[in-house]
Amino acid sequence: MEYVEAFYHGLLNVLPFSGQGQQAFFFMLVGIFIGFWVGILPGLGGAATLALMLPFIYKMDPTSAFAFLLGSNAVTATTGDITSILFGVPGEGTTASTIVDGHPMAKKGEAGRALGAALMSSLVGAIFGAFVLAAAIPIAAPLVLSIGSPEFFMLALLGITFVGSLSGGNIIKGLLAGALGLMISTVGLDPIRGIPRFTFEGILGQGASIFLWDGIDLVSVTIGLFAIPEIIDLAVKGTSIARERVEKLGGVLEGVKDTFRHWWLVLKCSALGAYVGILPGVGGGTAQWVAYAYAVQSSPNKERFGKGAVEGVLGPGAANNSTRGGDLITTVAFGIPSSVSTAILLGAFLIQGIVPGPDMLNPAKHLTLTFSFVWIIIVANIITVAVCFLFLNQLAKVTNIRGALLIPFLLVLIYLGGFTVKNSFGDMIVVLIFGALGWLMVQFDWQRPPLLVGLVLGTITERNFWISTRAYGTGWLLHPGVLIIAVLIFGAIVYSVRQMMREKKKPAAAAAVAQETDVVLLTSPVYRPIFAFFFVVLFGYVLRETLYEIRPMEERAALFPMVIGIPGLVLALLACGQELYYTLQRKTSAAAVLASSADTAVMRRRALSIVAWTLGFFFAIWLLGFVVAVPVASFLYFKFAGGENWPISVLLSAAAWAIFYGLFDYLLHLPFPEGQLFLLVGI
Amino acid sequence: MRRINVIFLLALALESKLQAQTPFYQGKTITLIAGTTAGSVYDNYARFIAQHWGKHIPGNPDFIVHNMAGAGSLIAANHLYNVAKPDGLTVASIIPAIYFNQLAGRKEVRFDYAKFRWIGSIDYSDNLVYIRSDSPFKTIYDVRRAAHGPKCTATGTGTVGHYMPSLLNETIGTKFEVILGYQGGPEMDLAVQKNEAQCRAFSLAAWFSGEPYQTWRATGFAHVLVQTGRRRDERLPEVPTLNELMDEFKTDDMGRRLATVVLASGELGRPYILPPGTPADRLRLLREAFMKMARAPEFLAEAKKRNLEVKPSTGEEIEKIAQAAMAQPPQVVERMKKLMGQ
Repeated sequence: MEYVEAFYHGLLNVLPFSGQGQQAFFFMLVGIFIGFWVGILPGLGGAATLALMLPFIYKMDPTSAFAFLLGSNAVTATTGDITSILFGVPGEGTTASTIVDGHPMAKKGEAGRALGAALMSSLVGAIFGAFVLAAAIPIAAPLVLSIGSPEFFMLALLGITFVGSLSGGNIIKGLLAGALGLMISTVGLDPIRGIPRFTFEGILGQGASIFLWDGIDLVSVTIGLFAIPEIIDLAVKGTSIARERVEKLGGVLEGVKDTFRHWWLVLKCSALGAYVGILPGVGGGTAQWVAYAYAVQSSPNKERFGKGAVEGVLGPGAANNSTRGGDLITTVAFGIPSSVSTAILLGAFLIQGIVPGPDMLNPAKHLTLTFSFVWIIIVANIITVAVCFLFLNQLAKVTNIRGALLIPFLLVLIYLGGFTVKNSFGDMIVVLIFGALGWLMVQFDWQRPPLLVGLVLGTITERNFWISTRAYGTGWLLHPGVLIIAVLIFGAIVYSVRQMMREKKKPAAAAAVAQETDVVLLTSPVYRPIFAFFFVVLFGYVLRETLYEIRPMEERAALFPMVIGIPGLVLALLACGQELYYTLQRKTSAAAVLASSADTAVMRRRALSIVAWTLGFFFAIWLLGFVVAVPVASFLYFKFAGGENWPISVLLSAAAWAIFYGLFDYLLHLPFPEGQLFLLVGI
Repeated sequence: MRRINVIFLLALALESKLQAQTPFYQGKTITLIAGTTAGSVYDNYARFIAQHWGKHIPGNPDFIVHNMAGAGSLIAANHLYNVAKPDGLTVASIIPAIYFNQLAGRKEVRFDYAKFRWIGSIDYSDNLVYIRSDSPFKTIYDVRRAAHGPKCTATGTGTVGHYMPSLLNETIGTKFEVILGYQGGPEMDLAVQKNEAQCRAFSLAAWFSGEPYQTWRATGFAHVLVQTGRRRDERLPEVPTLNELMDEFKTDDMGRRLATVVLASGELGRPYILPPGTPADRLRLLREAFMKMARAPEFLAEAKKRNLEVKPSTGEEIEKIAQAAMAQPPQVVERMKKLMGQ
């Protein structure tokens, strides 16, 4: 009874019907407003924003303070989806996976439907996560303590087995991309002795090598892999983002209906997200990719994914929101935060003089506040989604704007998104490198999601393997949890294989779904085996480094790279052979034939031009600094690449400058480096 | 005519005098580089200090905090030493333990730790080792006698979680085992809750700050085995210090020097530094203002509210500690390298 009462008062305290509630509600609105923009703008992360908001809560009462912080934090994953879908640039690190299917939908003219689906599933996910938080409060302790490092290791392995089903029909290439992702996760200081692994010191010199010590960041990899190919594609086709105009923008309502059509998927992915949230040290960044993989895995018809399947939006949309609820459980119940955001929230507890832990679950103490958390997450998301729906049609119209008018803004955003990862140029270069890789992968039919699944799970797998072995010897292999998950892994593999066999038997008619084809410019069949051969070289290098550089320093640091490197090399050789075989058979894909027919020359020229502009923006930022480069480079693009008239070019580049300078420099004081030119001249 | 000249000269003299009195920092902005990610404890201190420091510097300069995280402050320290101008307008907050990298001869280190200009430190921290109370090891003596000691958690080599138990093993012959690879503090505390490991070494200040330790202390879930301060902390009167134990077990001189080098990092605490070559008068201004700030009632009141401990050390004090740590005989350095797992 006390619980019910606290639950009820928790709600009243955040609704504007009492004096106390009014204040909390007001601060929640402010928080939502901040979170809304943080989510939409790439380069502004939810956690960093929380850190900036923290000093403002001193004078607030606890409910208002958490309404302010949680309100902001709860909506970033929702609005981040919007940017991902519309532009193919991740609004938040945790919404990157929505791009994979959401952006192709926007290109098909179904932006409205994709947004509707993303927002609705986000809402469901948020509410689900919040209720998990409410329900888990009494049983939080045993729940969290049941997952030891061995179980955690096995869960990560289970996630990795999903890679197979993300392969888009070509299992060898899919597994190889996954292996590459795992490999990239080992870049940096090894987690045990701090040996630098794959930091390319001999090639890059010390400065760049130290940059790699902290590893390669998920955000810059995703921006590169997905956003850059999209920008190139947009420029090459010379259209707006939506290639076709669909009446009423593809129907927001249709997207909402999709959420209920795939009700079980949305719920399962919400549950998955909440569970990942409870696990310490992992959050939305991991949950989204695992949920995406699960959505593909559970679909009878995997070919549609990556080309605009709505399930690919629903799964991650729900999961990255429900993690927020799960994340809070360990923080509230033990005072042990399970993510960066909750670590900052823990700071808020301290400022407010509230002790997380048993007190939070005690009806006489803070139980009402705990339930207010639940309600804040729910109410904040309802408000955000409602507001978004009001503007959704306007938002979706962005996809009908001429590409040439958008491209400078997108280029600025991707570089900004890279820069803010560590406030350094290094991540902008990472964006470019993975941009090139991503574009080539698209050209030659390689799936990108397996790479990201590998990247998010690699470190977890390695760390927990070492901890398990050191803490339990080999005894951990017989833990009941480990055995249960092992059975699950086995089941998942058997299921995948059987499904694949079944799909092979099906006639190819299912693949005839209307879809946007990527323009394939590198049509000559010789490129494909060459690209596959690149992987052979790469994994050859990995093994060489592992054997001759890492192993002599520390046996343990070399184990994981070996375990991935050897199968990686074998897979690379197989892929190379496979591509060579296809080339000899002249079995190029349908898309390639399509593009090679007509105006390839025009497209080639456009492609070269956009690549030059992309590099040009980078160079301009390096030479002139962000603040000067943004208007100058944008203007040049509008005028000379876009062929816009003077007023439009001046007006748009001035707008770009005003937004950029006002928000990022003046308001947020991001530490933009001076341009090299000014340093040389000595101003 | 002459009179006008006189007035003119007088005016000129007056003006140049006024100019001489205009403090250097007036109208200037000091950039405070935080060598850690936004939201970390070091960053919290830096942002807090940035709000107050300027009020105590003549001319009241503005402060901007720039995060330059990476490689445990190594990137920030390299930047400060080699790139930042030594004009007193760039200050950095670093994790002091980066001197281990220099002693270990890591080539990525592009600074001479002893040559930084030390402004002051806002807090110092002694370390301790806590252990689950239901483990068979009730005191540090039990850990010394055992054949297989308890398992302590650590993120990687060269961190407190790793070097503290190793130092105890080296100097007083305890048998701690260290499990490496945890992601961070919260994961390590959870591991102890799960009984995957039993002990963890970290800062004494943290043990007395928030959760979960507050509950653990109240319920007796865990207790402290050893502390590293010069004297016993008043809140831990029963717990022996490392110095007492080294006396009791007659640790040799090299062992004691080793302890000095390793523990210097905790004594340096949360230091603020300038590039070498910064003009002495500006260093003096910043040092004085730093200590004034650290003693201002308004500052202390807000620190209390933010739950940030303030135990300031002057620039002169920490300079001495830093220089002493860097000037060690090769044998000690070798032992330290081994201890740090380099």
